[in-house]
Amino acid sequence: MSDLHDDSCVDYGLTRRNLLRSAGLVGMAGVATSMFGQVLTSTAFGATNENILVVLSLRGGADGLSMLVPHAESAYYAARPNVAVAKNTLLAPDNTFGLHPAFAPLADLWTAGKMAAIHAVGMPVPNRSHFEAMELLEDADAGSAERVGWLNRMIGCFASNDVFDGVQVGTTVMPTSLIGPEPSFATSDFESLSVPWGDNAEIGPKVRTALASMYKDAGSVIGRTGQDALVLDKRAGAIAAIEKQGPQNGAKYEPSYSELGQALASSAALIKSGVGVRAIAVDFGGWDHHVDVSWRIASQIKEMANCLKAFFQDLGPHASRVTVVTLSEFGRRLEQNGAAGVDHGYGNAVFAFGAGVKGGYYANWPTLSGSNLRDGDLNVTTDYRNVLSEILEARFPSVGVGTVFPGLTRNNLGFMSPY
Amino acid sequence: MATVPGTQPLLPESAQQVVRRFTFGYNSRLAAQVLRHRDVYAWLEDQFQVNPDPDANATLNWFPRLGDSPATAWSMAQSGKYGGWQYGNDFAMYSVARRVAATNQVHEMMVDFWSNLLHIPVGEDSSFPWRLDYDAKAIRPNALTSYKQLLNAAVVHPAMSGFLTNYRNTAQKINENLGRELLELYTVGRPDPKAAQPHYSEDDVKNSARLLTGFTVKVFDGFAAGYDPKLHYVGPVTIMGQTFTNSAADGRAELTRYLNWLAVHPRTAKRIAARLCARFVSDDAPQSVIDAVAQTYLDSDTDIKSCLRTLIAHPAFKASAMQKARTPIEDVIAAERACDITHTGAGSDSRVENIAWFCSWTGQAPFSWPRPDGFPEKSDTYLSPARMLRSWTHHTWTAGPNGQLKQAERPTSRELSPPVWPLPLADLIHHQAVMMTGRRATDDVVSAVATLVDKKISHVFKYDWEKKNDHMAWMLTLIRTAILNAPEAMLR
Repeated sequence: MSDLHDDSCVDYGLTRRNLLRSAGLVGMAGVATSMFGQVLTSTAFGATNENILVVLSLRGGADGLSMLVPHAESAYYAARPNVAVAKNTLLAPDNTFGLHPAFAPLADLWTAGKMAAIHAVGMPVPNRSHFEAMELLEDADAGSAERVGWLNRMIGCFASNDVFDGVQVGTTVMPTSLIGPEPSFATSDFESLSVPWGDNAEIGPKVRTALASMYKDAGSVIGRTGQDALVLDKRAGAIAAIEKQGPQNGAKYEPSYSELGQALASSAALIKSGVGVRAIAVDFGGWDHHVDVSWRIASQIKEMANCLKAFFQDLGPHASRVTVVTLSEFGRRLEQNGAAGVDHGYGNAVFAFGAGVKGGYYANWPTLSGSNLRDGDLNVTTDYRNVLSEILEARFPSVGVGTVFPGLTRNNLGFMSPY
Repeated sequence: MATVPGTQPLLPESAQQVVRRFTFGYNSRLAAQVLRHRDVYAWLEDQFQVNPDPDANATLNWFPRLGDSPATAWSMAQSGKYGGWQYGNDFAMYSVARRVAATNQVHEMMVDFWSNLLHIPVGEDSSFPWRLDYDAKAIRPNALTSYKQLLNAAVVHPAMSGFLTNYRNTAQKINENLGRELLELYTVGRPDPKAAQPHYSEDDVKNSARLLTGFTVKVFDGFAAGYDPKLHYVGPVTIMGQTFTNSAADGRAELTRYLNWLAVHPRTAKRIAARLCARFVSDDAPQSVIDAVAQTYLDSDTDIKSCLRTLIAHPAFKASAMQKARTPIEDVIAAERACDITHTGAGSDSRVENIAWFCSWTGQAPFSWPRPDGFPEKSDTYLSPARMLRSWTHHTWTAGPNGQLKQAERPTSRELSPPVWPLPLADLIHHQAVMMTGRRATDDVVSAVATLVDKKISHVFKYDWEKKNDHMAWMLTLIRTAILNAPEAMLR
């Protein structure tokens, strides 16, 4: 960062944590929220063995250079005299890369070849505005003015076209990726999702009949939403019941107050309930590390690694259907700033875990040498849409990648086993 | 059988639409207020005057800590006696209570609208000691004046400086945060990513920030606010082709020139007009009404009342009836008003605290949006099935005349029932619907009620036991639940 320019911005993650403490007023404020796509297929309670995609959004712009460290680059250590991750602390280093030591809880997953670390990933053009970058990332259809998110286009490719195509937990405001013609819904958890007096044998059925008669106009948004709500009412109970049983197989989401842990536990319940979820996205905020990146990111990575470890444990045999991928709106500057932090940059690291993943390091590594940088930052050599496409192709053969990411020139890195 | 009173609407449908759009919800007191004027437009002009509103002002007294000076608030938070988040909760509850109680409904609506455009989340670390002052001094007095005045008051306010880090923006070290949002969110809007020639560049953003230098807030240190010319960047800057000489050591006069220039920029006119139309016409308002409002905005030197007059007079407004969904917050407040629940305080577990929680539970904790771009104005965004289930449940808990409310009053079942006996079920339904929404119940609502109460639509209450309080209270609960849960009651 040039010395005359203070690029720090509000740490919205901090703001959200502050708000979170206000129990009772936390509706929108979750540090970690999750949204669920294609939750329940039209075969209602029929257990399904379909594959599932979990998108973990690291909101705020995660510093890929701290997470997946290019330890062979002297430029990395030169640009970050106080905040570089020391080479001798790295997990599983090869000749080029090593993982931040806080990934330790996932060491077993790495050894088992179920974790891929991919570098120099991002959007084709740099964008350093949080809102705009996140919106472009989630819309992922550069040529179109339509606000239809890529997850919405993905769930549109399944034959079911069910009312539960998208569920967001933690906020009722849809993220851009889910917005579009395919129905979706939002909630903070799976409890209290029934019609009023729904448990009452006498009045419950009458309430349902009365609501169904008032919400019979499928031609209006409110009519359709009301109908979707009545279907949700029928099904949410089963998920809530599984949710109440708590984590299985000795899984512990740590720390216990982790919002990410709670969202992943709810997601695991949704998967275990066997009602046919296809895509889940979870928000994990607090990565906007303009100040003191070292300890902050160590704590973030540790929480993420602990919770993901618990998630796969909790899933048990269902884990063989679940692939997790991380996304963040942008990487951060190569050079540290005056506050031992890093400002908004460009190229970033992406991680994939679980089913179908061929573990290891992947990158068309552009190096950090001067001429290969983009405005002084790590360049992007892999379009993030190609990372997602590779997962979709490998795990969701019925999804047309061209529909989800129109106009994308396909390039595979080979980090997924063919389905 | 006597005619049942109160089963016909008091206001014509065109007046009801104005009321639904520009207030936080119908009730019979509001109807009476409108009826004291020649028509709804005369009422609106009266509302534009922003007469004294003691009922609304009284709600502030329920939150004694909101009277703390920024220095006191900071020291309370620092010592752990009263956290920033508690100040935030208080402010959120105060705002909700005020919207329920206010006689100046149009003013409250515009305060909400501008607060959302010039959004500062509550309880946020670096702005919370100044958050009430921002509402009271920047937004409220200017909500029905001109955007020029409003923008000038909001942008330099210490709460804004704290939230968008302008307090760290100095000639020596530019922090572009506020300078960027000023362009992107508050005035000309961000350039289309596909535009060949974006209307502002990253250099314009930095220059925008340069004109904002000099303002100080001692964030995390007493929060005193001031202006220090030594921190102001002096020298000419060019923004979107316009050069500001910026030669004075004290840059405030030049900043006013910049803000005034931005306020009357045609792109600002379009952006403000589009946002007004998104809130008050429809999610996808026709370009014709946006253009008309933008033209009035420019012709009237950004006068807000003139913009609203143009918007309401435009045919697109009338054509947009029932095309906006109530957001979760709007719905909670409208239900409170429809049920004529009046608050008397806001202590622990009070009704005011409950309804702030209902807002959150149905998906929209007041002022909690974490980013400066404010809650989405597109109301269909809030229509999710889970929200519907929770809103229906909230209506059910709110509709009945039974159950004690803490620090609040509501009509008894005797007060709600028309003084007529025997009493036809259909008439009772229309009586309740007119009282709560201003309109007669639809056929769908009438038959839904018949299902709920398990009676024929033609049923007539005539037996003594049917008149008994607990029975009638239960009937009223079911009837009023159906009225609030109908789709049209969740639209505005």
